[in-house]
Amino acid sequence: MSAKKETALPEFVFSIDLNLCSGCYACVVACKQENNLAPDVDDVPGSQGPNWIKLQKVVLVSGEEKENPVVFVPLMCNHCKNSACVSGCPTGATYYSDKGMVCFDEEKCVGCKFCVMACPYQIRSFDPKKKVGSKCQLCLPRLAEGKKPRCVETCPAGARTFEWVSEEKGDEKTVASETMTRIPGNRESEPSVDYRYRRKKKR
Amino acid sequence: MELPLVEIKKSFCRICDTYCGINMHVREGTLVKVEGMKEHPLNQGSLCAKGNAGVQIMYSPQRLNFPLKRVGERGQGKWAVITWDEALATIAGKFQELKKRYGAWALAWDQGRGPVPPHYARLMNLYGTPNGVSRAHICHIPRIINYKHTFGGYPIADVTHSRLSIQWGAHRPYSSAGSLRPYSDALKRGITLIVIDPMMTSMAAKADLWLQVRPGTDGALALSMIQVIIAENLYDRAFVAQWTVGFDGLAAESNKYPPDVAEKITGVPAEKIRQAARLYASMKPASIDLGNGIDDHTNTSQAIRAISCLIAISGNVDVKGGNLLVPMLALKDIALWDAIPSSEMSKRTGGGKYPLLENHQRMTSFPYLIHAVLRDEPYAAKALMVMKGNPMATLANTALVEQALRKLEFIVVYELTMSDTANLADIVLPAGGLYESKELYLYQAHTFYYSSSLPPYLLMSDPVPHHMERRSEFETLFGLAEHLGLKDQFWNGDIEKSFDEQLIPLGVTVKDLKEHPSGIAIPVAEKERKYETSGFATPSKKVEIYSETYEKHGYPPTPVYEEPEESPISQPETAKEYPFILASRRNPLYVHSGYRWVPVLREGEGGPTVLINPETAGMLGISEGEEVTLESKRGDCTVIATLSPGVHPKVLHVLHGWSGAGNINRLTDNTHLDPIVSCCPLKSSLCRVVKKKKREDVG
Repeated sequence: MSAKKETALPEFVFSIDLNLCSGCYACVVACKQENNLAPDVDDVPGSQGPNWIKLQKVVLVSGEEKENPVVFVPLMCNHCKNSACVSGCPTGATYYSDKGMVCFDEEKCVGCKFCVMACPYQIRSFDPKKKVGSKCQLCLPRLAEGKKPRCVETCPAGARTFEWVSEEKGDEKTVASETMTRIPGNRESEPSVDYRYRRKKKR
Repeated sequence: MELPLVEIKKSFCRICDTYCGINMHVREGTLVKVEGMKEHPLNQGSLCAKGNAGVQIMYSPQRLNFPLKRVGERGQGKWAVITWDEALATIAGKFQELKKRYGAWALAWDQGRGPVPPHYARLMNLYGTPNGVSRAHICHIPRIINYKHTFGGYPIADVTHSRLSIQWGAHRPYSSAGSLRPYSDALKRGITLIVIDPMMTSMAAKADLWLQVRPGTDGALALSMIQVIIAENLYDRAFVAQWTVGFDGLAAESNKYPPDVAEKITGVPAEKIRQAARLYASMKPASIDLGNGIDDHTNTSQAIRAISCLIAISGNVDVKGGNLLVPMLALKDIALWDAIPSSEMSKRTGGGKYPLLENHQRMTSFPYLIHAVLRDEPYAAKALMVMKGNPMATLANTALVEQALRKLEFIVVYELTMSDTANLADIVLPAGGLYESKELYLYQAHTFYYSSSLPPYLLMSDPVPHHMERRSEFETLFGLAEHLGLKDQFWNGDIEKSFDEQLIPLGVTVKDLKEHPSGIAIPVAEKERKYETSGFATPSKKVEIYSETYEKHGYPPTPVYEEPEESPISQPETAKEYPFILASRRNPLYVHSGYRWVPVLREGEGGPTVLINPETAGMLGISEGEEVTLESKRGDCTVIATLSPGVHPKVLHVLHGWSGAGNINRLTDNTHLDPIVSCCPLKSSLCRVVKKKKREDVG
């Protein structure tokens, strides 16, 4: 287990192309199935169980009233390089792996929910039955087998990519072109997940 | 503790009609995970929300696990668990009794969605009834039939090579997520995208041009685009001259709908109509994907015909990147349609009313059958068998459907859960298809779901052991065949032998498919412009803008536009009381009436809703999350208001397929149908919104 890093340098690049995402919910369900997350709360149909991906529907304001484009943002843990939940966790249950992912050790969790409160994206989950936190771990067991995270494999639109980068490359990442907008924007936490959106010029 | 090893079984998902390849992880006979199959050419390892919920679907406590016999009043919900032997013997006995008392015609049989194996038709045809019904009035078959009579085949959008794509009443991320990849690739390489949809969908949000068309007016829009293309001389003169019949009539008809006129009908600004027409005609190659949004109106057939003619004059017929007429492979047809005695054929309910539907599907119209039963028409069905269908949720005018079903003497339903239709049955059979059945599937680009740039592909699923007493469609049909004395016509009970017979034309065997569990690609020679050597498979050998077949049957031979039966323009008096257009919609979590009982899917959309424009809601004093009642001349439903800016102020969108009070089909009409295919107006009729009255405090 790594010591807490001041600035973690992830050895991976995770990007989501919001120009392709259609809000189909596949990643949400696949993640829940892969990680055995409860489907609802106490069998109340339609209630929300813990979700490591929270699908948001964002309406972008444009000049034309009737045609505000809709963008779906499948918000996930951003494995922040300057993570509030890592620095805030009293027991070290939330920590950086040596590959730069923000990981979670259930056994060390005392259920204080500070991570839930601290996360600027409100993406940290809490398992109401086990009374401990839960979070995306980028499908570490799958990565160990040479596979991609479940959400990346399952996306029907092919909108999600996960790549390892070699350490020698330093902090070089895949290209973010000038026309792209990052959603969500929170510079302080330095998210590692890159949500890319390019506004289309309507004819 | 070491868990026993997981075995991977290759299969295909059957929740929607895409049939994505899947890997089923099985541990000691239990399904523990479902994932997309990476090597499958269609979905390439991806899998939608529904597919990913496979384990919950397999073992849901809502699933039927034992054959049931009704012991109370019909619909009371009182059942006795019986054995399969008793169930099949009862069913067979009843069928034979009906045949003796009335004739084979008295048994109607419904196939919902599938795949429904041709063995079902075979059984019913051997039994001798001409009264098969399907989902032609709801989905897809209207396109198949109207395309066939125009092009002699199904013109599949070859989007992989298109410069421009029109998505018309189609929202693939919801209806066929597994087939999305070519569309994502097209978006990445910068395809020009036009979306024609009453609602701002996720595809419309990505479009270069979005036409917010009034539901049911697509025919007028198509004719107007044709008018622009002809007037501005943008059509393919050479192709039209050499390979079409009826252009002049089309030109004349389209002149009635210049963009300024079409704007008043469709609500789409004239300038956008011109833009769409010019883009489609000039950016070649261009393709059109037509979806279910077109299928559910009283004027559906003419709309599809008009859009077909738009394709016909555009220069995109049977070319790479246009709408390709992909050559069709076929499994051997084992349905034995000719086994129905001619004496019974004349007793088809509504026989002769929808001849093109009958000729294509060899079936009759389900909505018509409902009326026939209610009116006690001669040869109206006395009994009904339903496999994988749910008319109580999906047929228009639920109240009349229920009345008709309750008049029947005997109902058998094969289903996953106790649906509203199953609840009215005498015998309910627990469906063990999906992950539990060995089944063949031939993928090819003959409809919406498979890309024309992929070779045909054959797959045979490797099943998970049955849960409890469930049986597959095949096991059920073979068992029933045996009880009806038809075992010798059913391969003496050998299901795989029937597959081998089906496979004969492809030169592949069940043994080959077992040795290649991921599937076998069947290379075919790709050719565009096949018509240059063999013409089109129509009577005139050309693209029939003017259809003699339609004329012969008394239908307009050139596409015309007629208002939907119940619209603000066709029934202005009704519209005063019922000012909103009621349209049904889809979501990516459910398929028609299915899967609401899956908790992880239910999380995504928990109950019946109505999407309502925020300004409209404001004017009516309705807030987000408020319970409202929608009323039509037929009935009402109760839904939760969801404010949605992407929705037209005068249109309400309700997810179809809920049972009970939230069922949109309590409002829809089934008396005025599309005259050619009997489509029900599930997406264009009139309604009003009533705020739920506050319950009086008691005591």
